[in-house]
Amino acid sequence: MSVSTQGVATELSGWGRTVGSMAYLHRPASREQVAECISAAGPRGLGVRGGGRSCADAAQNAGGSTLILTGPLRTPAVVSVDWQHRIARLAGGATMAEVSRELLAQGWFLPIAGRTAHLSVGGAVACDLHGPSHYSLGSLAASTVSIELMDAEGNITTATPDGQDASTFWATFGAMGLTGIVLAIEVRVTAVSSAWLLADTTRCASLADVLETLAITSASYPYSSARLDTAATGRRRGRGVVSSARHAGVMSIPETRRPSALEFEFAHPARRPLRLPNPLVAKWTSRLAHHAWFASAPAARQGELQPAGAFFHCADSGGGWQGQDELLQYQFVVPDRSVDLIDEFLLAMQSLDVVSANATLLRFGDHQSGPLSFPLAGWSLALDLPASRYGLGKLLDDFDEKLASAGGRVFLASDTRLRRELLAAMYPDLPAWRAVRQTQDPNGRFTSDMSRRLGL
Amino acid sequence: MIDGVGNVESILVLGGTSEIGLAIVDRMVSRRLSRVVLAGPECEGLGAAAARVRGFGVGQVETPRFAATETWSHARLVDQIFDAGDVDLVVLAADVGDGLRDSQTNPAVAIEIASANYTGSVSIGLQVARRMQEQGHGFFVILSSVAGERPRQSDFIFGSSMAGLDAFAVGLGESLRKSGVRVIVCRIAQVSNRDSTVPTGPRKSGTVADPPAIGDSVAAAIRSRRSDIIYVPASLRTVMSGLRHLPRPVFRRLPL
Repeated sequence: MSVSTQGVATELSGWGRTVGSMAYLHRPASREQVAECISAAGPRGLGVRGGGRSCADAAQNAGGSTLILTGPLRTPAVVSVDWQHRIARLAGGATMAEVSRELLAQGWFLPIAGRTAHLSVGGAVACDLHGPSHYSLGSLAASTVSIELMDAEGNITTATPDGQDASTFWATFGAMGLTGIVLAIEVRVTAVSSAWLLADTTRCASLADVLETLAITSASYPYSSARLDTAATGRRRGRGVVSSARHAGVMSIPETRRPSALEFEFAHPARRPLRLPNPLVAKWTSRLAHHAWFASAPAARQGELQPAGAFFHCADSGGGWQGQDELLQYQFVVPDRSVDLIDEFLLAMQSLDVVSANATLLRFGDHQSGPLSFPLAGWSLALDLPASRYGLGKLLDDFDEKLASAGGRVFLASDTRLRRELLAAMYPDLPAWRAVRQTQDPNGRFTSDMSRRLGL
Repeated sequence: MIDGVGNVESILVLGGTSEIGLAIVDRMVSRRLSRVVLAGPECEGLGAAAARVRGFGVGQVETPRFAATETWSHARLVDQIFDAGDVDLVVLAADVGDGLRDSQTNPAVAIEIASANYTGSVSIGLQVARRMQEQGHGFFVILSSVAGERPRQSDFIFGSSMAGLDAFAVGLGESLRKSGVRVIVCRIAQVSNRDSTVPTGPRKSGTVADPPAIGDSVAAAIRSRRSDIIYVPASLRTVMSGLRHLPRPVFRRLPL
């Protein structure tokens, strides 16, 4: 059965709703239909969309075609598990929530989890997903054994990290979907006996304290991250709460919960933040809410049982609240030697009176990564910012330059505004990536709003 | 492409010599703006406008010929501009004849005003909308006037043409919903600029707009992506909602 080559005209935007564009949406349900869509792509090309949870414009293709994988390309999410080698084969169109649910039911867990569970497996590859385990396990690329990729001619390649197509493998992680369509991946998984974590929480009074605590917990816990209070000023600027966790054995959880110990408790559906009238999220109300959150956090708590979903997927937890403004997500990483830039950034945000509801600080380790993979050894800060705030664009432009000269970079999966001249400075292996893209897609069929904006 | 904070890479101004059009370009200048097309009549003013835009640091400035009343040329002009690359922001600033009292007694002038402001704008507006729909993104700013909201005895020819343009612009915006293209209707008060016929003298606060103020308002509307109809100055929205409902005998006595 062939898929409609016309598609349904649909306006698409990123999760932050900052930039919207119209694309013709196709829902292929087989590899043949995907190949058919690729060959029928018009002059404005073709892109792929997963869960639509990225704030970037990479899953939009203005005036062109956009694919959402369905049918057997999405279900079952976990195609098979090799129990002996602990390797799971995942469908490219499935969401990570579906993957987690099915893996946990069999006693397995994918230890690379991002702020949302609603992104697709293909999307996770496209952004080279990272999470609070990066310092120990690296990003998704480091746990992936192989990827099955369809190129712009409809040919399917199975690329491995050290095989014949190793350059394609590494170039695909972080490539924002421009080197091919991810049909399936094989990843290493961890055996667990419950879907619960034992979490320890520490409240830290300053940024220096947060950094020190996170450095310590990174050495002793598999998962660790911090949430910062962006409303705190002066000596308290950058204060926050560090949360660290390890998997809970089935005997650690209450007896009443044991029969459902492996159920992925994911109480939070994909919900956008609640939009309140701007006067209700004025400077003083935001500050008050942040002070209340920080004051109510335990100074030091140990061994709290938390569902894995609640610990990892903070961006899904009810969504929080915001004003009428669109959300611009900004995530950057700085090497250890430039850690002062984090404080400088927080200070700059305060000069604009911007308070971010969801500022997450992560420790990144040193792992092999692809030319467009975001993580590098150091510290990463992610924030949600009001996109229409006057002066924000210039402030971020200026900070991008400092970041590039300090050896840092911004996360493309969050980006909607990076200047293309800075891309090469932040990602010095860009020419190597372009060479792979040229092989995979010589006629530039794979296109997105991001590829047009950044000249990728 | 337009980025997340409202920066654009390319702008087309239809009515390239318009002070307001240039003020909008001025406000949208960033290091990402690489192409500006000033479409207007062949005149000295267009060359000067192009030089001014080059002075903003824009690398590629084009000045094709455009006249609102030459509707037969619109399709080719628009295709030529869009074939050379996507246009992120189009500004239609083709309105003429504000304050020309002559128009009420001279049918030829009245017809010219009506043709340029309404039929000409409809023609070029539909051509632009077609290509913007095809590219699937962009902002289309149409400069209208509050004169179209309620006709005044002193300026009803211009007002009636603006009423038509305004209705067209609002309707076009509705028809382009979900197409990735946003139409912003900018209802302007009397404009104090060099080619305006606004009488000199004390400015009536709240009813006169400067081109830079219009540029600021349009830039803010693009940044926020929330407003489809903006008034410049913003206070005019309240003033007009009052004037719209004023009994005619009272309205007639106002010094408008």
